[in-house]
Amino acid sequence: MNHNQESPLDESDDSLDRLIRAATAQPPPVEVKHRVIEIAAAFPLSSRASSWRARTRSWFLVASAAATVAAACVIAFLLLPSSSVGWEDVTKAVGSQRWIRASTGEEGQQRTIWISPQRRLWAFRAVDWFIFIDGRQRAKYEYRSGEKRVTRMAVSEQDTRLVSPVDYMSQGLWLFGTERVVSQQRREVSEAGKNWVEFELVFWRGQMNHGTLRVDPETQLPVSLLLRSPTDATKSQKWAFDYPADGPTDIYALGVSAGTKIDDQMPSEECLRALHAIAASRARIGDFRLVVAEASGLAGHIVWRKGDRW
Amino acid sequence: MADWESIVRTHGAMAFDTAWRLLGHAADTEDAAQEALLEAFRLHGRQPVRNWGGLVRHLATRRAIDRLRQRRTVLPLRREMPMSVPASEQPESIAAVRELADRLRSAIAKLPEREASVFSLRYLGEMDNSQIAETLGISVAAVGVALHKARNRLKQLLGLQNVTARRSRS
Repeated sequence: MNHNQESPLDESDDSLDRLIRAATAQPPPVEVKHRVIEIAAAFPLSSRASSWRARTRSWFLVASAAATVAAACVIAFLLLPSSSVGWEDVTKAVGSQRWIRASTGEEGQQRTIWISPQRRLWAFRAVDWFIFIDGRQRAKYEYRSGEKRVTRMAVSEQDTRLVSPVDYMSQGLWLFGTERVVSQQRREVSEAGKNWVEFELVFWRGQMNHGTLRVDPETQLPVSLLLRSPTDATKSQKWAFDYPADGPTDIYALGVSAGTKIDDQMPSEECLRALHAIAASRARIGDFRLVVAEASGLAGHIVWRKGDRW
Repeated sequence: MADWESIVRTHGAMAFDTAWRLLGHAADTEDAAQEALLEAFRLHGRQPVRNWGGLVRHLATRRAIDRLRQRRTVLPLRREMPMSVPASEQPESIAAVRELADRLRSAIAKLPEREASVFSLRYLGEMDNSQIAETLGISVAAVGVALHKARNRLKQLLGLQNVTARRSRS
């Protein structure tokens, strides 16, 4: 009798301990852990801690390492305090440019990005890599040196954001990749008799996740962005901005040989409409949590969406 | 004052692991750990802290419990879940372990604040009672009481006492 009275307590304790073991049995995601620690460790003491939290929800897209510069540029626009620099003016100034060009020649590789917000064009040229995106045609062209053909394909949702930076600037939404700003500090500097406004930015992801964006207060336009590695001071990349009247209008203007033929991998119009409808319906669904059960399985799995995270 | 970077590198991983065990979800854990480290960073600039390890684990626990409480309740797919932890790495076994862990997490979210913190620090944060007492600024005896209450309440919430009672009756 006594055994029966004590046994339940032991069994329930055992059961609870098994649940605790289950909770500690799953190994943590190492990559995420490493990222959290690296960013927190690199967080400068002089930064305003409050701005870190305030910006944690500002998620942005980055298509490639090269596109980071453009992302950083537009992210920085979003962060400009309207009272001091004139956010509206900066948005207007950037949006009114026929072309925005960002170039870097460091690390022995010349890389250039062109953006035409008005014409919805985005182009990238490196030594051996060429990309041209036409937002109106919803087409992306890509070519790598040594290949026989230029590949033409449909733009992705991410590509669409590349050619509409101003739209996404004004909405404060997704831009180029998975970057987000976790810290920013504004300062005014004077150099050779010229005044500049500079923003120290810390991005959540990416190797070059510290950046200094310099803006000309007279034109309200960015002039340079210096990206730095938080762990290796020797690694840096400086991008310079200018605003030419003309830019590339197709991939051949980037330097691809005129004789290179196009390998057309564009889906049919019908397929594009279906893909577009899927993307649109997904956007309308909003946040959800879906439990998927398999008849033969024990628990299935969970699909969820929270904002821009899946 | 301790160097911030060394604090993060020494204690950040444990804070992350604690939040992970409570949440079991990478994105939520990332947010909770980030919030905890930010809070620690703010304290670092304001006041001396004797036990950074305990503090960051405590902050991570609190932020993770906050997130647990915000979660919607997910109904279990089966009324009777197995109470043993399968050793196999087969998908079914992994899913079973996750489900068991999620049951515990949901129950922790329903505990009173102190009991949830003490239980989480003890079993998921790998701290002993004296460390918890120092971190929370309470006596070791109070930690013991809170742990005892937490375990009993969890057993009730999880229906463990009913199961064993049924077994004992039969």
